[in-house]
Amino acid sequence: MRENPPQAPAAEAPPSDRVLLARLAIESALKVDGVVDPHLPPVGGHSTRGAGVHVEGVTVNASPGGIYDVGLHLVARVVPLPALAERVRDRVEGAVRRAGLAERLGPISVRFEDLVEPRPSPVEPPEPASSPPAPFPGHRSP
Amino acid sequence: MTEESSAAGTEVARGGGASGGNAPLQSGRGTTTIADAVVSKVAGIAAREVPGVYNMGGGAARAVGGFTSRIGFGDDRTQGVGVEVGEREAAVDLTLVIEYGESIPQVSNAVRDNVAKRIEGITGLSVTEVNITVNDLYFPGDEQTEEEPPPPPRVS
Repeated sequence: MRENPPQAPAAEAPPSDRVLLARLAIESALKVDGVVDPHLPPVGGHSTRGAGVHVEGVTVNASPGGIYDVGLHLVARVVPLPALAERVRDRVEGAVRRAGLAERLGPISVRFEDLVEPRPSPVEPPEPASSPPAPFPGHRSP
Repeated sequence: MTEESSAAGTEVARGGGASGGNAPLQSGRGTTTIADAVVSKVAGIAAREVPGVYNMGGGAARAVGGFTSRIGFGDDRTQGVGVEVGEREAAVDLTLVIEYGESIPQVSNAVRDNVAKRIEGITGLSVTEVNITVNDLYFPGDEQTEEEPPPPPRVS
């Protein structure tokens, strides 16, 4: 009877495909111009949890056929949102393809939870009329 | 003073919606959904863009909204806005304060058009109706009376 060789101490387990997909999806989405933040409500929220990992703003769930459905929950600027969602999908699909996980990626649902509108900045007091700078003390003009 | 306009419930749906960049809300690549808060915010911003709209919401909502926005909570842009959002369509209820002297029907129609245009353009949802209640009129000077400094003391 052959004995199994002693195993090396277990290194930290690599993240699962599900967690990798979650990270790739939210990181790619946040790079798209028009996306501001993942949606982080005060209570609850949408996240993907793995072993010691917590990825906010994205849900990744297994579907039949070994693929994962991705759901992104985003806060965006006031821009046309369907087009923005398509750009997010393009970016996520590209990142997932480069990571070699394209065959695991299912549909990407994008939910816009809130908008951020840049508020007009408060009116600043006008600068005083331009006048020649005061000479340094002790400076003597010719 | 409170006046109710009869400008409620006009159908404003145009085309098939999904005009936000010509991208569909549902495709084989996944669905795009829009939360109620997004539609409320777009509607509130769009309504305030129309000249003649002074404020939004009922008296209590304006008082509470003014207080909460001063202390940094709440969002006065969704004040006076109620929405119902489906997968492809949205319906909007607005409560407005209009400046005295403006034509309420004209302002209401302009608000209705602008709100529908903005929601369809930004969210891709088709707007089925925009119901408007004119809750109050604003007279210029109303705010000054609220912010007048207290009278000087009569005795030293």
